[in-house]
Amino acid sequence: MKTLVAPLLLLLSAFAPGAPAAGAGDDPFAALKGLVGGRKEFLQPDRAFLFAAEAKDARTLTARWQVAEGYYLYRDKLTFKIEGQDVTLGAISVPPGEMKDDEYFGKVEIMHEGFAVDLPLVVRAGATAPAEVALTVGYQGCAEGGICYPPITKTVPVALNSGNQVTPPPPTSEGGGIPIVSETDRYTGLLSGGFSGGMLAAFFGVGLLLALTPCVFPMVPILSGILVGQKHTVTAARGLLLSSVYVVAMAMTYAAAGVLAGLFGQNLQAWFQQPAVLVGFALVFVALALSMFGLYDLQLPASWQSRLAHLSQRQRVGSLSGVAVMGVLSAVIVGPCVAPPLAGALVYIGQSGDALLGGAALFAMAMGMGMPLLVVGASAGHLLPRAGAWMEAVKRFFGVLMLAVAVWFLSRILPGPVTLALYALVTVVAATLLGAFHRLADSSSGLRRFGKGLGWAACLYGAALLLGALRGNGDPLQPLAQFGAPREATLAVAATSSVPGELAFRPVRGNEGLRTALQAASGKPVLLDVYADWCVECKKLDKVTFTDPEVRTALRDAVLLRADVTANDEVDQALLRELGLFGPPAILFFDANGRERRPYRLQGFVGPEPFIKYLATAIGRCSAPGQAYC
Amino acid sequence: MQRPGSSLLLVAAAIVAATVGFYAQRHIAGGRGDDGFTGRTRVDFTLPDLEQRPRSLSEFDGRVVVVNFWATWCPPCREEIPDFVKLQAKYAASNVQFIGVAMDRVDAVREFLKRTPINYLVLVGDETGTITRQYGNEMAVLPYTVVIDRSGRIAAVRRGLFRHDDLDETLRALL
Repeated sequence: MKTLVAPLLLLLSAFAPGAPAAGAGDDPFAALKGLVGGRKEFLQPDRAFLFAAEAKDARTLTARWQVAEGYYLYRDKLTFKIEGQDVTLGAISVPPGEMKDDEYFGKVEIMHEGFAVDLPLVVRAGATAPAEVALTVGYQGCAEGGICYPPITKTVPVALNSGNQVTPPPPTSEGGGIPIVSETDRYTGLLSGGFSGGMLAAFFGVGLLLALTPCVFPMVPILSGILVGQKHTVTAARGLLLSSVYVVAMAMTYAAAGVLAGLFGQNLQAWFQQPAVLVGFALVFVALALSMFGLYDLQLPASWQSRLAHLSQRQRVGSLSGVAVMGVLSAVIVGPCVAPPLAGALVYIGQSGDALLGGAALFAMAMGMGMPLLVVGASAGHLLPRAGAWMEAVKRFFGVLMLAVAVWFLSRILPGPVTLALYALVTVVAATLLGAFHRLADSSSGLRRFGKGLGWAACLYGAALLLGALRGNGDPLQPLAQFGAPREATLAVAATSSVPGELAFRPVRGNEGLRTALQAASGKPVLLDVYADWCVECKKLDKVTFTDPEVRTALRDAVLLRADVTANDEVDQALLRELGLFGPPAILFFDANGRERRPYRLQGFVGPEPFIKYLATAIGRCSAPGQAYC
Repeated sequence: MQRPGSSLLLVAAAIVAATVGFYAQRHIAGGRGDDGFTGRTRVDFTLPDLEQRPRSLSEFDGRVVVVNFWATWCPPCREEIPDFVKLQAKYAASNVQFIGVAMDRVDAVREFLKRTPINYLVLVGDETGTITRQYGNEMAVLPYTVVIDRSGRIAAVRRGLFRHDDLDETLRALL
């Protein structure tokens, strides 16, 4: 197992943006780019210059900076100010910096690495020392590599009595205290309760519930593929062992990736949804499917094989490590699907810095998700016969399933009709394997005949899918929608879209774009939909919720904005960071003053009916201060 | 599927390697600037020059315009300004206009110009970085340079130094 640790860590660091292995933080390939001489990436100012303030004692504050390697602050640009009347700052002594020759200014003093500045407080005579002061600091710096940051000003509250670290101000409740907690906040709230067995059990329970969602489905064929592919017969014990390794590896990935992502505050979800990653997984599944169909045996070079055989004779590492890697990869696949609870945990880890707690919670949740898989593992050992034709049928079945999963991956990045055509292909392959095109002998068994019947049904469905694809449809469940009456359907769409209050989202890009749009919307409630092409839930929202006539009516008076973060570039990431989101889908509401009604934010898919109820309190006419309900 | 564990491992490793390779390649190949912003139509802005006269970007429509966001306190910015002065002189007849937008105080800029004369338009007043952010410079870092073609589309953006030869080549391609 030891040999596996290094590649596993490498794998993790490759999938967790901003992991220490990546060096420069924001871009996982920054280090790599540095190696091959590509363009340099620069840190966000808040990462380049970490700032924190705390009370040293009742009369002294300490301001600390940690400057990233290769970055510096100008010593003479450091400014300090206490807001308010009663308290001022006494004499401040900033530690000496390093002298740097500047061809324009002459010698300038710059600050590298970490440094702290003590700030003595002077309370005005006759006034009592406040419990909390607001410290405003200003600083300015550059990267050695050739950029400078604009002057940064930060105001932080510092509690004086207990000498506490700076804590972010508590979220202010709005709208007369309507007891609505957004989905993410609910999970965060669960976490905030503290480290306890009950909390971990709760997360385990959430995981069990998640196992009932389609999120876990893609993992069943993966695991079954592993079990079916075993050389030796799978006993219940071995099945359980293999599935345990698989599930634990998956849970470890969640824990590790969650902690890393929390610590480095990155958008994991978008990363996992990158087209190249999706295409990669689709290819794995196609390759696995083809080997299930017996087209070829996936094999290592002979020399490796003998080495591995030697190894596995001693400790049977080969298959277990492979299973573990698949577990890790599966976690990566399923991650986006369980975004809201994941985001909740990540938000908490990010806020508290308690990586251990967050990691444990995520681990518990993933173990809950994996429970049904353990059952599958254990039972597969019983179900599968030693050898024979039945085994072939099972392999083919999983081969088809794997092909379908491959298409499912691609469906997030391919246009609907193309996806439908691919599903048609998979269905026709399934039909062939079911023996639809085999001639039945008179002596054929009833099972064979039944199979052929099923095969023909599948074939017809495949044909319907293909027809739908050719007509430009994208829904595999209704491939021939509009087939009979295309004209009427088109007319109906045209008619609804001419109704006033149609959901016309105005695109906004980046923080600046959002600010401008919010200003322009002054006086009206605003709904911001954070969307991406690769986000399945977003598309579902579009298709199901936003097309609902009642939803349209309810949103008639609201300004509808859409931030399309498909590209997930720097501007998009900055917006997500600013909003405190880990990725789409998210629906945010802003009041008439352009402030976000944070308790109301929605993450994940919501059906039309609950959404309408939600809207009644989240926007518009009912949101006047103190007026809780319409 | 003789040895499923090891073959799965091999496949997984190959996919990871391919993915990493693909991204590394794409990042390196596409690393000339914030490419998401090239191709967009330039956003007009109006800022005062050193005599407090309001000047707009749209005055220079139809020319190739190089907008350089800089400040006197930014060493790399000062480093590249002599190159811009040279290129402005070289391409003045070809309707190339450089504009320096200083995110700095007017007096600091005046002081700087006494020692380093600039032969192109210098504007001041984007100290909060509002305009530079509209051009894709989300962190408002300096220097930041945007090249706009004759039709008003953003042809190139560059964060950090824009080297003489590199910019020269970019400009030649637009003329």
